Formats: sequence, structure tokens, C-alpha cells
Amino acid sequence: MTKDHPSADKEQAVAGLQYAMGIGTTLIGVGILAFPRLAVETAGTAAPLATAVAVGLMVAAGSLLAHVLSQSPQDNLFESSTRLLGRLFGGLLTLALTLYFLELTALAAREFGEVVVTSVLQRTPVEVTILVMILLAALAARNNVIVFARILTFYMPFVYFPALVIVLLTLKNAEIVHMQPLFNVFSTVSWYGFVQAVKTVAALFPNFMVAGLVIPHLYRPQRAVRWTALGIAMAGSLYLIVMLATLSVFGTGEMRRLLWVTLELAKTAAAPLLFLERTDPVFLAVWVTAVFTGVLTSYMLAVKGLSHLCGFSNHRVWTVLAVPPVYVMAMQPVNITDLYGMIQWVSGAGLVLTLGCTLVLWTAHWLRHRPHNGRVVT
Amino acid sequence: MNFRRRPRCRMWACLLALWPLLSGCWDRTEIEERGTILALSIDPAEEVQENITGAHARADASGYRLTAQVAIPGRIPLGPGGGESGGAASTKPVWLISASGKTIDDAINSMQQELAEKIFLGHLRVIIVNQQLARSPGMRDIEDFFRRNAEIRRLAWLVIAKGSAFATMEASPKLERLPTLYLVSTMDHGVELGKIPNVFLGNYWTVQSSLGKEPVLPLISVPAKDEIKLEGLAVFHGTRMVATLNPLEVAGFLELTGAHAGGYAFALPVPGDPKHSITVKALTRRTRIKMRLEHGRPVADVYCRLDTRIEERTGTVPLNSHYADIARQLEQNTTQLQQRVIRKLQGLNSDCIGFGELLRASQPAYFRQFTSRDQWDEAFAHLPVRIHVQAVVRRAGMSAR
Repeated sequence: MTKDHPSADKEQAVAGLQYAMGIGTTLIGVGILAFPRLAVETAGTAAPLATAVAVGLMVAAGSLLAHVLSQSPQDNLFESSTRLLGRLFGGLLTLALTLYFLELTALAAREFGEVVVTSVLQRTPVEVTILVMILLAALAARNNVIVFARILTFYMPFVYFPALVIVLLTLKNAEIVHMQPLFNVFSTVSWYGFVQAVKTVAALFPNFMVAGLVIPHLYRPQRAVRWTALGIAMAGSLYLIVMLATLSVFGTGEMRRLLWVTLELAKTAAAPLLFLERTDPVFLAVWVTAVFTGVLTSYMLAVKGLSHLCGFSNHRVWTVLAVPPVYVMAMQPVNITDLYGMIQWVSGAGLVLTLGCTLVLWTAHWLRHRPHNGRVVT
Repeated sequence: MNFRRRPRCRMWACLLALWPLLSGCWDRTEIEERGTILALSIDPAEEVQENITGAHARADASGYRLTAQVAIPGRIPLGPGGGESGGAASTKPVWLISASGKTIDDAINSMQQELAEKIFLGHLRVIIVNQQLARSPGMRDIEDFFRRNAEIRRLAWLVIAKGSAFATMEASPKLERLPTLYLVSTMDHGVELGKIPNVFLGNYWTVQSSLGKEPVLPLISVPAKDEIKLEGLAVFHGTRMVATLNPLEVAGFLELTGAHAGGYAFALPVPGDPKHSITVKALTRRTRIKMRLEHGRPVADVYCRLDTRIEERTGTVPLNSHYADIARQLEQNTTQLQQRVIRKLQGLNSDCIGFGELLRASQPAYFRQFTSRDQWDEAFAHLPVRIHVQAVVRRAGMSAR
């Protein structure tokens, strides 16, 4: 990165497909374990439909953000918000996003720690698991955005293929009757519950804001919209597949009783290989990479936001300074119930924030660039 | 601060980066230091005088007596051969250990007192529950411990023992080197051969959580020392066992639930020669159940298709011109058998076939009125079920007559 002006001359070295794969990887995160239960709790068998609606919503939101950013490809998300909204409002928006992504990093690391301490490493202190995850993210966030994008892309096959294989292995225990009624649902499910489920699933996607960091580095930023949409749709398809698989294997009644439904799904997978009698450790190993990419992205967004607020050209110093507050935030929830209460609240607020930010930027962009008596005012 | 210029800084940075890797050692457990439990039996305990988790331990049963098969490290034979090298009775690969408690966890904790190594349930393959306990309200409180424990596999088997569950732990059949593995293969092959439905632990839990279906579990007994016999199925109503299905009824049950493999053979009278019989076995079966609302009431239609082959004929009447008659006879018999099974289940108020789930799936607006398991089960007791069986004799073995 150059030192003189933060928004000057960003090196363009990320290919479109690479970027789409990166988005697809980063959107799969800790939430994949619990979201089928949360969606089913309010929407019953309408949960897959709610998932599909939420994915559609987020593809639209991501495309809108990508569209705004691709109009001025020299600026990243935070620079664009300052340019479009002015120093004060742009700064406030950046501050809100930064705080939100710091908290998101913390909660994702904590949820990760809780899963690990409950299901695999029961004697390892949860503090250590959390700290290691945060440090890993901090270390990886010291790279520039191009390398960061490469890290995300690199892990894509490690996240997608094992997850799909495990889903295939569980199909033997799937029962179609558990999924029904799939479409004719509103006789048993309230609209309110359905909307709640859409909200729950949409809240899995806050990391789509990473588009704001990577788009300026694309070879062809003018194509950002289609690649962003593809990336979000990829992650959305995986979420939908996992939703359908868990629902068809467990049914709504059992899903309400399982804390981490997707992990139980991995426990139900019968591998035809003798040495792999249990697939849940394999799934957990895969899931750690998914968590890592998610935590890394939230942390990168927070750190980039902080450096923008301070006017730093280099974000590296914040990768060190942000570790203690994130760790402290991660340790705040008292227990698992408290943690999920907090996650529900923060993810709801985050959904409003990320969607709101996208809409505000788009409106500001539209107001500034609308055709005015036949010519464009800038 | 520039890392590149200061080798000492770089060294510390590298060390700091490597330090988190050390955290992997926390949960290190050597295999010999694990009390690996392969199978667990649960019997009712009459009087538990002293218990380990304190005076407040309470469950719906007066107490549970747990017996575990603990794997002895180094004695588990791996791979072919080698099993006979020791041969003596002292080289048994598992060790039986018992403990009782007021609750399951109470019993597990007192078992831990008898065992030096930490109990590890990650390899638990079978849980056997005494029928007497399964029929009591105490069955419900067994479930929670296993649901909460992260080591438990959902693919383990939960099995009901006709007599004492402890006896099934003691029995060590000759076919497998590990008694547990013999039990597991009895179940696995039972599913493959179409003798029992694939009702493993996770499946039992899943069915238990759904409103419109009641669980069944495999039922075994120990008729003689070192012998284990599959007795049929235990029928549940909620979390309590209410009845058993004998192997013939299980055949009808499997036809109704549409299990693919045909596991049981039926004997029919030879057409025109009632003193002799022919035995027919299903090759494959396919069942579809349609739930309809007629005059505002649910009605079930069961469409069952059997592809069969002839296994045996007694007497001398040639069969090849009678295939159609045999098929009609089989259809009649199968219909009667299925009706008998359904009447039995309806008498028990226990919808193990899952008509309720099918009704919920196809008529969600109607099913809304059933908010509890008991409500649906009462409706199930009066559900009209129409059975349509279509049987075809496909082949007759190597005999031309």
C-alpha cells in the first residue's frame, strides 16, 4: 500500500472468480451449527423456504453494495462512505460498522470456543481456544487485502466439499415426511414466525461487507456485482442444503431439542469406511476453517475501519491493538444461554446495520449521481 | 519497529506465533488411560442405599443398575488370527463392571469410583435396557444423560432385553471376538436382512420428538448361555414400552413401513392340496401410504407391492400353472396380517407406523388440532385404514416344477 493517500492506487490483483469463492467461504461461519434449530423454532417446516428467501434478500443486498462500490473502484467501503456521506456521517457509519464487527469477531470466537469445549476438547480451557482463534485471525489480518482475499479463496474447497460429503452420507437416514409440508406452510406457521426465521438466516451473512474491501482490488471492478451475487448465492446454497438435510433427518421436533443440529447431523453420518466410523471429528476440523475465515473477515473489516477512522494508511498496528478488546468482549457472556441471547440480539442489530448501511450508501450515491437535466452531477 | 532489521524481535515473534500450538496437549489421553465402555446395560435397582451424587438424586425409577463392558487395552484382537493365541479364560477382551445409582449419572459416577481410568463413552455401541424398566416411567429419565453427553454416538443401538439386561452383557457368543460386536452385528444384519427396522438411538430420539409417530426398539433375549436371540420389536407409547411384536407381526409392521428388504417367509396352502404348503419370501416390497380427508375425517390407504419368490413346496402338486393363485392367496394373507398388526397397534393407542406424521405432512391444516402425542394417538385408535396389497410371484428357484 502506498503511504501518501489511502485511497490512491490500489493494486488490482484479485480475479473475479477468486473473489466470488472468497465471499462464498467467508459467509460460512460458526452459525452453520445452530441456525437450523433457530429457524425451525419459529418457522417449523417453512424453515427451508425462509432460508431461500433470506438468501435472495442477501444476494440483493450484496449486489446493491457491489454496485455502489464498483462505481468508484478506487475507494473501499469506508472511504466510499466518507466520500458519499461526508466526514461526520461517514465517520459515524464507519464507527458503527467497526464496533459491530469487533463484537461479531468476539461472539464468533466465543461460540467457536463453546462448541469446542463442549464437544471435543473438554479439558482445554475455553479461554485458550478463544484466544488462539483471535490470535490466528490477528496474525492473518496483518497481510494486505490481496493476500487476505487469497487466504479466503484457498480455504473454499476445504469448507465446501467435506460439508457436502457429510450431507450425502446422511441422506440414508433422511425421510421426506419430515420436510413436508415444504411450501403449503402458512396454515401452521405464522407470518411473524416466518419473518423471524428469515431474519435469523439473513443474520448469518454480515460478512458480505467484505465486498467493500476487496472490490477496489478486482481486475475488473465493473463486474463486481455478478461475482458478489455468485459468492453469496454459493454460500446460500450450502446453507439451504444443510437446512434441508438437517430437517429431513431430524424433523422439527427433534431439531428443537438439539443445541448444534448440524454437528448432530455429522454424528448421524455413517461412513462406509471402517477407519472413519465417526464423521463428526472430520466435520469439526472442516468447520474450524470455516470459523477461521469468518472470524478473519470480521476482524479485517474492524481493523480496516479503525485505521480509516484514525487516518492510518497501514492497518497492521490495529491488528495487535484490537486483540485485547475483542478477547474481553468474547468473555462477556456468562453461559451458553446468555451467549445465544446476545448473539440473537447482536445479529439482529447487525442485520439492520449492514442492510441499512448498504441502503444509505446507495441512496447517497443515487442522489449525487442522478441525471440532472440530462447531465450527471458529481 | 521493523521486524526485518531486528533478528531478536523476529525470533520472539516466531515463538509467540508457535505458542498457541502447545494448547493441543490439554486433552491428550493415551488409549491405555481410557476406560472405554463398549456396551452398557441398564436394569432396575430395587433399593439404592447409598448414592454418590447426594441425597437429592431422584428419577422416576427407584434406581438404575448399570453394567458396562469395559475394553481391556491390548486384549482387543485386531485383524484376523491371533485370537486363539491366548485362549485361556483370563484373556477375555472385556471386563464387566456394575454400579447402581438413583439416576443414570449417579450410577456412572459410582462406576467411576470402581474404575481407575476415566470413563469414555465415545465407543459405546449398544445400550441394553431391561424390559421391566422400559415398561416403567423410569425409562424417560434414561434419555437425558445420553442426550447431553457429547461422546455418545447417535448411531449406537438402544435395545430392549426381555429378561435381565445384565444377562445379555454376560453372554459371549462364539462368532465374534467381542460380545459387543456380536450384538452390533446382530442388529446391523437384522436391518440388512429385513428382520428389524433401522431404529438406532438417534432414530429413536427423533421419532420420540415427533407428534405423529411412536418409537419401536429391537427386543432381544438370552435363551441359553452365550446365545442371543432377536425376539421382535418393543412397541412404545411416548417414553414407555407398552407391548411387543413377535417376528410374524414384525413382518407385517415392516411391510406397512415400507422397509425395502423382505426378511420373513410366509407359508401358504398349496392350491388344491390343503395338506401341503408352499413357502414364499418377499424379494422387495414397496409401500406407499396416502392420507386423505373424507367427510372431514382422516382415512389411510396403504398400497403395498410385493415381489416374491417361492422357497419351498411340500407335497407333489406342480406349481408353475398356479402362480397367479399363489399370489392372490399371498395378497389375502398379507392383508390379514397387516390388518392384525394395525388393530393391535390401535388397541395400544400407539401409532408406530407414523400415520400421524404422514397426515401432518399432507394435511397440515387439519393436523393443527393435535397439539400433543396423546391427542393424535386417540384419533389413531379410530383411524380407518384400507389395505391394498398387490403380490407377484417372480421366480421359483432352481426347480422347474
